[in-house]
Amino acid sequence: MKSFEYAIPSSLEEASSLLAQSWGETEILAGGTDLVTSLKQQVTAPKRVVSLRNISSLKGITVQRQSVRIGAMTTLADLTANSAVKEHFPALVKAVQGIGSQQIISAGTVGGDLCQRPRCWYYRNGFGLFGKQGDTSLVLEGDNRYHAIFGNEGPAYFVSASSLGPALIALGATLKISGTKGKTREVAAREFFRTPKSESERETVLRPNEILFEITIPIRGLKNATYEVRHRQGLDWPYVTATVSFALKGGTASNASVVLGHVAPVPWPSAAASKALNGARIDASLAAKCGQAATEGAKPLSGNAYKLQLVKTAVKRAVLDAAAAA
Amino acid sequence: MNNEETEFRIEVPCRHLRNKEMYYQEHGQADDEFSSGLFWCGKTHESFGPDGQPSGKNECCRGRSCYIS
Amino acid sequence: MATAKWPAIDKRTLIGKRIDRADGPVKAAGVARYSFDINRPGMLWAKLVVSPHARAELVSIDVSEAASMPGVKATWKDDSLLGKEVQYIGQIVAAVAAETEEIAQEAAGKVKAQYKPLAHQANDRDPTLSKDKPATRNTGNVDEAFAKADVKVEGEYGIPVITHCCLESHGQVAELRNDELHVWPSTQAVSSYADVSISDASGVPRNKIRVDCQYMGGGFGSKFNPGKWGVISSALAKQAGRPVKLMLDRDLELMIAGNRPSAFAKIKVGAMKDGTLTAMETEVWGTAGMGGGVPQQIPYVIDRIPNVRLTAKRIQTNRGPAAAWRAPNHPQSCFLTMSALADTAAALKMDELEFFLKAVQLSARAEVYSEELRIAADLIGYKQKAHLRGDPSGGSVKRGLGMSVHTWGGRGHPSECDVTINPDGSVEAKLGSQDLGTGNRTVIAIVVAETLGLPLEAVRIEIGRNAYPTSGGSGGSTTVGGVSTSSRFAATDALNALFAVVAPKMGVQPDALEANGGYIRQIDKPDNRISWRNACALLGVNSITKRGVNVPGESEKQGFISQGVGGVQMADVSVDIETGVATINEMVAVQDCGMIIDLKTAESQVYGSLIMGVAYALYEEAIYDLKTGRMLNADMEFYRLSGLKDVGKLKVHMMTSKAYDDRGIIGLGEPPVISPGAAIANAVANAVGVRVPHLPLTPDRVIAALQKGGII
Repeated sequence: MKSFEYAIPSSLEEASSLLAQSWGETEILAGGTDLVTSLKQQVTAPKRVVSLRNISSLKGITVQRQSVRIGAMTTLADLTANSAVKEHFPALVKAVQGIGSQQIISAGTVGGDLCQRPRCWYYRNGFGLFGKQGDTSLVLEGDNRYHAIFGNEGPAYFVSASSLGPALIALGATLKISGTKGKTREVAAREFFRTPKSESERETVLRPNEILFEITIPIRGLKNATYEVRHRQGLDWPYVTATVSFALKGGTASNASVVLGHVAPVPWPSAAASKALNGARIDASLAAKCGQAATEGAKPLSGNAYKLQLVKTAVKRAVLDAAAAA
Repeated sequence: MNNEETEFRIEVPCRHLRNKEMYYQEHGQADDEFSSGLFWCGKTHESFGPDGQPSGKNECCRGRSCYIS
Repeated sequence: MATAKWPAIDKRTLIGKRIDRADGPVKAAGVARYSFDINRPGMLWAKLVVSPHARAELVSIDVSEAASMPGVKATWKDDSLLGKEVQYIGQIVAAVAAETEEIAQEAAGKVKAQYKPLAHQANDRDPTLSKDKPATRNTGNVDEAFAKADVKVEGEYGIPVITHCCLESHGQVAELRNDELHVWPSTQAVSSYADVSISDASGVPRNKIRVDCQYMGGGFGSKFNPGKWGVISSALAKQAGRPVKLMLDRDLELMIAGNRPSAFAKIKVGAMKDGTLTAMETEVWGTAGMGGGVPQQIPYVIDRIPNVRLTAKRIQTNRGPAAAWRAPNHPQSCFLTMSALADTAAALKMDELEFFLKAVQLSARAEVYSEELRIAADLIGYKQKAHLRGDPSGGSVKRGLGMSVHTWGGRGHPSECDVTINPDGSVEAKLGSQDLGTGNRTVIAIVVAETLGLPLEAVRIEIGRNAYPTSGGSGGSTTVGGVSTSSRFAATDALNALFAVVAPKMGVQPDALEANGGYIRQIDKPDNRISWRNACALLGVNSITKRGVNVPGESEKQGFISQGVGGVQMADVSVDIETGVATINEMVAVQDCGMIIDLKTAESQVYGSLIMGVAYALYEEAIYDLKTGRMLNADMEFYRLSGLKDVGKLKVHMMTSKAYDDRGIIGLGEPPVISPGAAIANAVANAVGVRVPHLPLTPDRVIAALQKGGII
């Protein structure tokens, strides 16, 4: 890694003022589980790293009657230890458990999970965010087994690495972002992620000098679950994930949301799958139908058509898991 | 190539030719069903010699530009 | 008088028992210092500069900017490469040494190497890319045999390049002090490590090079030679006049420090209805990088099939070089052969155990394999669980059993050992051997203690230095046979020298004595005894040192060591056909290795092999981008190894009866890692009803096979 200046401010405002106006000059350090790797791989080489560690207001979980507020610097371990989170958002707990590494769960933060950079191996090997050599997309011509099957019109073919993103979208979370001079704004979780169109953009709506500082999840009594297709049982990335949430009354679902992970440059809400759930009685055949619907519109690359089968299965099993939950 | 050279090829490999079996067998370059078939050059520490050509018991012999007896 | 002959089974106090490894506590406590842990006063850190091109002409290397950076103390560049070709990504062209690792890394980035990129070739899947004359083998009349065969079964199979992924990477610490070069390498060959290239780089002759490797974190066949990193760190240490540490970073460890060649094959088997194998035809191809060859022992083990034809094609690729990988060529040959054979059993609708019991009659060890197959079947519950190919039960999770057989040589290597008995009763054994984590220290201690009739703690074992008597490198499963024999000889001779001193005092001839339970006593009158301590005190001020020498051919003739083992493994797997995820329920390994010195560390070798085998069966694969020639997963994120939760239940059964014990010692490091890929792949085929032809058995491959077979 290249030498950099290390700043450790004690307020959000101070932190924002230390961030540059363009990407790459400065980076935010939360738990460090992604950034430190990126620094070592030199996929980022900032002049300054701004740690959020000393901003105490960013840590902790506040449980209210109708929502749970989570500071962005709350560790994944603290998130899953919270009784309200466990009670209301099993989909979120499952998503964290799926990371499989106690070290990452202990050090990694909720905000950091949402802002982590893609794991695309072309990107990590120095071929840029879009994995290009000259005008050639190495992803399209090369090994794209772990790449996107949705939202892959290019130039981005990577998949969002966020473990929590799909669950937070399905649960209807809102994210609070602070800018310079104490200004804040709110975005829905599903609006937070975006697919960059140029190398100078990133994978979220954050501006270079903005900081994600809080996540609010409404308590709506929704059934919810996450299912991951993973191979190793320890630390590993999933091949595909699905989070579903829906209200269930008399066996019939409403207000459904189905969000896929690791299939697109952003967490991928599936309108077709949600539609298949709404107003339907949940049973095995409906779950399978929902899984099938979730594959609608997918455009696999040369080496990842197998993910369609995984999407079908993950969605089907998430639906059944959610319905079976107490 | 005459017969004399052919004989040299078999009997006097380059002094920099290495293979795993040399490290634990009495006669270093024995070749049997348990040998790795992998050779390297002790000069370059690559699977090829200073001339860029592959190392091997049939390759690293007298007549090659980088050969040393 | 003591004789070196191995003691009878009922007379052994330590040999063959389950004994904890001697260095377990220091390793578990983190006290054991590996090469990577060696830090010397004033030590510099070195980082390498490598080619970013899979093939290019190296035009120039300029280290001046790096050299002028504050904190940089030495630079090195390979001028011999100028105007020549670099042949793979990661090939070393220069290096820097600096006060800190970070400065060294930054300085390495400032070395300017100019290249003229050239067309490269990184594909190992297409046999037409082979430029060599194929190697061929032909026995019997293959065409006639196929014409007469009841069934002809054809398949295509593949096992990719994997790396060694040693948890301690390659490298060394080098220090020039008082005209001597001290090196602390991570190596499998302490006695022969100080090769001429290190002398040339440091200007220090071999008799002044001191090699020290007390603990090392795995080599698996890739750590015999000093490597270019060893040469460079020696040169940098000389240039800087300070110690230098050069250990590979994880990415380079995976890219350039060795790998196991790939092997792909089209195989056709001819058989009769009753399972009799009559013919096998194989076209096999693969890559070992720019050098090496292709695994060719096909058919493997079942090598007495009367009609065999083989064509082998090496594909040269601009990729990191292969190195011997635990049982070179055997895991590939085994996987290809056993897959084709299991497919033949399936085509015949024959029970696989019955089929393999018949097939092993066409091997050099029919009786051993037959016995081991029956034991393995009992241990895995074959009778209760077995079904023909394709789990007939409903549900998405299918269960299956698979099996494989393997062989290895494993004759002990040349080894010399000095055993010293001191007047205070203390004992030490010295030899230039090394413990790769296998239990070598423990084994030597057991042999010496057993020979001298002492408890284990009474014996000090000194290994890991080239100043000690020369002992072979740890490769080819040769260590236990080599060191046990040399240390047995040395300890026996030293004991006899002690008997000669003690005997007159006890009023007997030396040959009337034995060492037992901490005493030297008269064999036929055990009450006439003297404690070990008092016996040694009779030495006055002088110690006894005797050297034992293992000459493998001689020791084999005399029955101390032997070679040639057989092993059987069975796997019980579950496959979720909706996700393609294959998991291990249980692995059973049945293995012979002649006489066993430490049953516990022997079993541990087999457990370790099974874990390594699960990894390459289910997860491991070096993935290369063909367009750039770059290894895409040179990390431990997408280069997947198995974790503890992934390996299932492991059962190990060592063949220990007298007939096996009578053979003397045979090495064990390699054989048990040969079969897991084949056994697991056969179990998956047995579970899901179709062959998943390529390892590793990842969800994408399993799903592709299921879809092709119309299962989903």
